[in-house]
Amino acid sequence: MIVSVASGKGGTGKTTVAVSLALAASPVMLIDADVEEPNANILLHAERSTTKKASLPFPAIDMKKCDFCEKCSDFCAFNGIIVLKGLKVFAVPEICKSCGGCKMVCPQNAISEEPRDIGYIDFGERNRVSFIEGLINIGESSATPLIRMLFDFTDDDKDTIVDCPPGAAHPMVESTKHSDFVILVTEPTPFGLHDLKEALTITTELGKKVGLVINRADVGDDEILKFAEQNNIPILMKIPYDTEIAENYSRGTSPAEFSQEWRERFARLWIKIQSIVSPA
Amino acid sequence: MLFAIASAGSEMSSSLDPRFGRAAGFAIIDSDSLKIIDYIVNPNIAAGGGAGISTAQMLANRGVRAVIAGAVGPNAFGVLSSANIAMYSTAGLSNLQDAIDAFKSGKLEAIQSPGATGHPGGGMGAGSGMGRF
Repeated sequence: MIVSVASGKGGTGKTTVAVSLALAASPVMLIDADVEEPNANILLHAERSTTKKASLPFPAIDMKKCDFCEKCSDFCAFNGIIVLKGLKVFAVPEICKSCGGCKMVCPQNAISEEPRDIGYIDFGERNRVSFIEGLINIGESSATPLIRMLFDFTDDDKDTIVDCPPGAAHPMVESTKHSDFVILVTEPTPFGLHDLKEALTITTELGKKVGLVINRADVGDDEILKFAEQNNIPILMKIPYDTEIAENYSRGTSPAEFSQEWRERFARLWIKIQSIVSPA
Repeated sequence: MLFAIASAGSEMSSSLDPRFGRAAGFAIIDSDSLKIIDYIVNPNIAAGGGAGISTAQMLANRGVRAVIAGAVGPNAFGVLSSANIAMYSTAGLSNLQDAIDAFKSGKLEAIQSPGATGHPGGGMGAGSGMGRF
């Protein structure tokens, strides 16, 4: 089973929920798919054991074979390869999508591919939580290819929890599309509701089962509750606006770590999700 | 030699276009006669991405040796530099006649470094931070 923890809005508590759930449900795998700013390990404290370079294929041009026909640059819909007639041909890393199309259309077989590093994938472990995180290099235009690579390391025999990037764009799609269930973490504010609706457009399109965790549930308004009821979305957990949770969070300690009660609540949340995904 | 000026049209009175990659078009000027010999409507106005570099490629392959434009983004700057195409700024100039006069009198200011960065184009939405917060 793969369970993604997502939200439209940033800062709602995805990482708090994902890490607490992982600790309470272990043995599991936890993937931090927020590759632009991975922070799950600030709460998990896994010891990193291995680091792998992540790379994408990138065109390399053999200028001895190139006759400047421009078929490659005509083909590329993103203008990722440039032909300066009689001078040189080069691909632009910020734009190239690594589709390999230029290589295919080149009549001279002048284009090959070589790996271009886009970031890192780190592996670690703590308290029977196998941890994988991606870290994209600064300046990369798209996080999605690295997020896709993280899912190569999932294990069919192990349940997986995914800490997703915020937003409702490509990175969120990529980090929820393999999931059996998506937990949407939100907060009872107009922003929380607005961005929850955005996130739901994605999960609905993907045909995912979803449930809500409402963080800071005792502040704001009750529009989220009404919305959930009207749309038959189960509310799986409410987390109060609590000084103890905030203080521990500020020290890098998740609720499941400092409180036996919260650990049990997250264990029950896990069982609830299991029962929704595979009804007995 | 030929040079290109980003402009809204092909008349001497046509206003200059402050954009490069997504400029409406380019007047091609012959430096000997100082006449507008051609006007290229820019096919990259609505490009999904890479408008600047594609426009730079087009002008390089048209054989221009200099470009007069508002600002040139980093990718386009790289391509134009690779093709040894000089870049001059339209700052303070309003129409094609102004730009050609400034060229003639050697008053054009060189663009020394890339200006505005690229913009994701029509509906592509691929910016790395899109949809965050």
